[in-house]
Amino acid sequence: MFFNIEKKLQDFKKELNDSMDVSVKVIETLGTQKIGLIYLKSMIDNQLFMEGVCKPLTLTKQVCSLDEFKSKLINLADVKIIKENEVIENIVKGTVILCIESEKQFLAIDIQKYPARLPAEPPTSAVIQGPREGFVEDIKTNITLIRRKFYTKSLVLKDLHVGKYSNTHIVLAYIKGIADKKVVKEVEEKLKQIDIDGIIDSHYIIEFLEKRPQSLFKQVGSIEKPDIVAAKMLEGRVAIIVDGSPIVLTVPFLFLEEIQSSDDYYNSHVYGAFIRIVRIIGLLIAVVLPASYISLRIFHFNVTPIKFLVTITNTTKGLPFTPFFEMIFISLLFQILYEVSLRLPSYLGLATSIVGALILGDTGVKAGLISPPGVIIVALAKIALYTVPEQAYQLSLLQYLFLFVGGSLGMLGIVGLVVYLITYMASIDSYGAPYLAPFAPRVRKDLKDAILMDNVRNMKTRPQSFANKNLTRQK
Amino acid sequence: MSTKTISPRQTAVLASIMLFANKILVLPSLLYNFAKADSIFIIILILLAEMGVLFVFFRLKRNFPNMSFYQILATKLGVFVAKTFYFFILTYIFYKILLVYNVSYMYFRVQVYLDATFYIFVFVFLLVCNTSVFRGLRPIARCMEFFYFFIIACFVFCLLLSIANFNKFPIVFDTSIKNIFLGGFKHLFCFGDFIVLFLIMDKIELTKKGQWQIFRYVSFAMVLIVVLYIMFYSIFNYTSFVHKNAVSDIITFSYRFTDLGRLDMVAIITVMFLSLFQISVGVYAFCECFKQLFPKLDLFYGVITFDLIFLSLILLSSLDYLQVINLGTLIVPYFAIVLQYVLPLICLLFTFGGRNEKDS
Amino acid sequence: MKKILDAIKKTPMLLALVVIALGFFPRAIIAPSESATNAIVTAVGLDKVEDNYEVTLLTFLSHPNQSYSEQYEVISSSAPSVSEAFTNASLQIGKTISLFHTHTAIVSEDMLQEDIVNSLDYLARIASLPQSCVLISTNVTSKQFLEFVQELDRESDINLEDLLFYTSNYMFWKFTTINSFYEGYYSPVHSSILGHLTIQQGDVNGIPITKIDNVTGAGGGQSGGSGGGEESGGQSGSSSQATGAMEQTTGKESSNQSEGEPTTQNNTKQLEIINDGSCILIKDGKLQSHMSKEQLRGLNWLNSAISGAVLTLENVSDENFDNAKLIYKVQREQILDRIEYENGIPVYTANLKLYISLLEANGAKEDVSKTKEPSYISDRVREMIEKQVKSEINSSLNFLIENRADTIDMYERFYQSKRSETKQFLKSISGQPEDFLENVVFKVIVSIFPV
Repeated sequence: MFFNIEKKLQDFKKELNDSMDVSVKVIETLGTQKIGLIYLKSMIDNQLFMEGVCKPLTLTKQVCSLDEFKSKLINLADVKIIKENEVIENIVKGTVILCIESEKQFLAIDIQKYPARLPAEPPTSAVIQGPREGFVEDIKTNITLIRRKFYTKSLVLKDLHVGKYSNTHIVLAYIKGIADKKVVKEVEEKLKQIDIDGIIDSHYIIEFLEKRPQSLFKQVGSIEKPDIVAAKMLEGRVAIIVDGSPIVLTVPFLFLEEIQSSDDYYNSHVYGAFIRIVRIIGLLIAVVLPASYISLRIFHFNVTPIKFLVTITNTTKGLPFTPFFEMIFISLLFQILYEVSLRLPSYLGLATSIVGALILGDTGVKAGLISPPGVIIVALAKIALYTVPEQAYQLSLLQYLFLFVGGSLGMLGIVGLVVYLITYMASIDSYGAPYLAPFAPRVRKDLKDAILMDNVRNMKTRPQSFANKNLTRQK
Repeated sequence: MSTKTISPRQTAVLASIMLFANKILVLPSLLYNFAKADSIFIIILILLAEMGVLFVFFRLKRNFPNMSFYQILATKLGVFVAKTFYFFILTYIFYKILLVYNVSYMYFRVQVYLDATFYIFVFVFLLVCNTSVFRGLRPIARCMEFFYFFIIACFVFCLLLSIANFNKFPIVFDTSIKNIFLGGFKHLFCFGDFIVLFLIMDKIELTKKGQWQIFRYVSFAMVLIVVLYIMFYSIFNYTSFVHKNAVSDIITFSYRFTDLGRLDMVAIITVMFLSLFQISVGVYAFCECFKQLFPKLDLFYGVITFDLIFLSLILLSSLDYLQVINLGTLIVPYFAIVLQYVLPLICLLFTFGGRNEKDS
Repeated sequence: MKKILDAIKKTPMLLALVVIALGFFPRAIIAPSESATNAIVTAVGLDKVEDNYEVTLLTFLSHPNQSYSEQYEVISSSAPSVSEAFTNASLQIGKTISLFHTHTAIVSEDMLQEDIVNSLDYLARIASLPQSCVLISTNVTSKQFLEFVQELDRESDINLEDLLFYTSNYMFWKFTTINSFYEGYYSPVHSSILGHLTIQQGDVNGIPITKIDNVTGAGGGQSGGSGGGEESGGQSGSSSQATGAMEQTTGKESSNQSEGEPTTQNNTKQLEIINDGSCILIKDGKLQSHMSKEQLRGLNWLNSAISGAVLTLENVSDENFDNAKLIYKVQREQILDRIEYENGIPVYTANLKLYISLLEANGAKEDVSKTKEPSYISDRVREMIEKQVKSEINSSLNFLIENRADTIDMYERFYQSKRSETKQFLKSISGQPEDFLENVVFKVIVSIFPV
């Protein structure tokens, strides 16, 4: 005998701070062998525990070793022998620990079960045609979803644990022979260097992965759908899956990826090209339109076409606010409406729409507080933010920045800010990939999948905007 | 490619955007006073000369692939001569930046802004060029590459719109050759933009294919400029001297064909982008010169020096674009001849005698 | 200090934002819309009244509404110089006046008695009058003209700008803009053509206005600007304008009522605007002569860009018609011209190909269906058309020669294609470029084709 079972189990329970969901069980077999079990009852499949673990144990007449338990009695998939220093770590993950007095080691039986969502279509990546699976919070399910895209041994999954208290399970996924080793190594090192108390969502680690975490522009991709992740891995990117988060991260990341959508590949390439142009126009409208409008009103009366000028002058006559203040007021109104609509219960959604649209919009105009052109411009800009939904927050901030600069400095200020931002973006690189590639620097072959999409049959090479090992996609 | 160099395509874009500096606004009307419609020949001749300078650059780069311009001059002519040249280049580039700023400011002040103070212009220009210089040459070049297609498309759009106003070719061969050369000489300061290439030659990656690419881009830009001049003199003819905003004025009449009204916003946006880029590159070149003259001071001090001199000139003196141009026609042509053509010719002599890679 | 410099180096954008926030943002928050402080002027008029210059502006007045209606007001001001008059007009309406949106400039015939280049130059340089602005002249004062235009716009869909744009298709050669005026002024022949719109009493020949108050009556008397001496130090224009722009919306009615005038029925005049393509000849920036629409028509035969001319043939007698009146329309015109010197004399040969179609025929001998064909052209018709066209061209050329005005760019064309001969020829006649036209031999061949 190496130890007393009851005492050992109590020690473990004490180590787990006597949490109320820690269960300790001592079973005596028919062969009068004592078996100790310790587990977290909130984390296991209780039925499987009773049927697959307790029942076979209570009915056995032999005195077995751990190996015999593992190979003959407990007929479950994930059973392994562990050392004492691994016990606590396994208990908190939802593993049942089995111990016997005659052995120093322990048996870990993985019968985790906890509430989890089923894969469903993410709301911000809806498609008309194409797969509708989306990632969920359970990492195992996410890994399965990715595995199903690659029936190949080249898919490599490396796992890490990050977070002092959360010990979050993170998996690096890439295709061996396509992804650049340097990138994989760099990502792995960065993840290992993270010294934080807990990782709740994948966005926690984004800032550790980015070279310029203060930047408004994201340098790490965040994706909710396995088909998109698979496509990006085939291009040579590395995916980072975080347990507890339905968002999978990918690096390197290019600005161009904001304009691309999976929908483009599930329709005709001509339509894909058209819709990308529409997205770019939407992006420009979202960011630049309110600022241009305000600069025309405050500074550039002389270059405004007469017909616009007459309409704007007529509709803005007698307003109590200055043009700039009016735009800020309407923008903030829309922002408040948006925030409210996110957090209100759905049964109040209709009332909010009525209040927002009719009362604030229409009545505000009729009361002479705000002007119709102002409402149209801001509404259009706010809606256009969602042509690129993943960047909506950043674009929203940019919108205010442009408004601020346009109202203060006019059209020259807007152009100056555009030049500044593009120069700034041109100075960013994401794991060796220039952020504005394939536009600047121009990578001609990658332009086939930039704005004017080409047929999939013509995309014979992998993107050359970032490093990857094997350039040939198809012959 | 190292992390601090620019690609041949980016060089080509930079060279062609710099080519538009000082040529598309007031120069056509200034040249008209000397040589009337024969100013087209001034432009063609000087642009051809510029092309020659470009070839000298290619040859120099081929012979001294890893050396900077300063190193070449110091090796061949001595440190003192190199520093003297660099001092004059520094002054000349400062003048050119001042000219671009003043001409653009005049244009924006008259055409674009009604009531704005000039602090807006100074602030925006200085902000953009300072931050661009701090980011480095590569981001500036990438930014220009990003907007290149857009700028050229807008420029071509302006030219296409002007076709609506075109009714006859200008009368050429109406003045003497003397007037043509005099007009060209007096306005040499509006040319010589490739001097910037020499100053950043150690930051350019150049291959034979890249040379051809640069040549193509520059030729295309030159053709566009010549077309602008032809359109300008065709449309305005005897009133050319009145129109100080060439690229904008040639499309003013075309609004009658659309219901939108004025379309000169296209020209305004083009000029805004071009002037911001030209000043950014100019200030970068200024800082490069400064760094060679004062090796112990870093880029930051170069930028600050530029800002201080620029602001003091703008704020303390009441220099307007006409005074800057008058200064240019009186004194600057002599500098321009030496720095734009004599110096490249001297550099051409260095390249004879085989490749000199090991010179350093 | 080094820490601050390092911080600036690290985040220059933040510093820039701080500067914008402190320096420019306060102004941005309180700045009104520029359309509130600047007047939108769509037409400007220049007059000379005794020794004063009168500037009249057709200004857009904003009216709070959510429709597309436009209301205009006529503001005028006079002073010893154009710039002063302009400044006074600004004071009257309490807004800065800039002419960026002005599409028409009107000059009265009185004003054209002197060189208007300087006045126009002031408007172009200082008030930013675009050079693409259409320049026309009128027989009445510009103020009266603009008031008429204001009524026209109010009562009908007819808009001055559209009217002039349409007319330009029938006007000689090109739009008569400020730029074309300058071009003529600075060209070797120093001449150009300006469009001319006539206002006269009646409602028969032109576009009528049925209800217009007394344009030169007492209610608007002060607005006529003739009281220059009284007004030089103060406001000019109608008395109701004293308290600002808004009152001018109803100024006209109120001024009439306030002056105790009789009802408008006693002072209503029927005026009409005649827009028939007539123009005036400008030489050295001044009015040289009036040019009738027939004379302009004669010149337009030499311009293939102009189409749509109507040819009326009276007393046509041929195999199908007897003393008939036939009306043809020129659908298209092609001109093949040749410029050469024959024995040292400039010869201009124009081969006109007219593609015409029959519009109306009155006086057919027999079967109507045969004679109403649009392609009906008999030899007699050809002969008559040729004669008429040549006669009109001749008459117009004589007019130009009399006035030494080469508005058809004949000198320029010869100079461009035959430069040395032209220079030699000019030397031989010891003349100026204006005298060149007189010596050109015109050979016109007219060919008629059905459409």
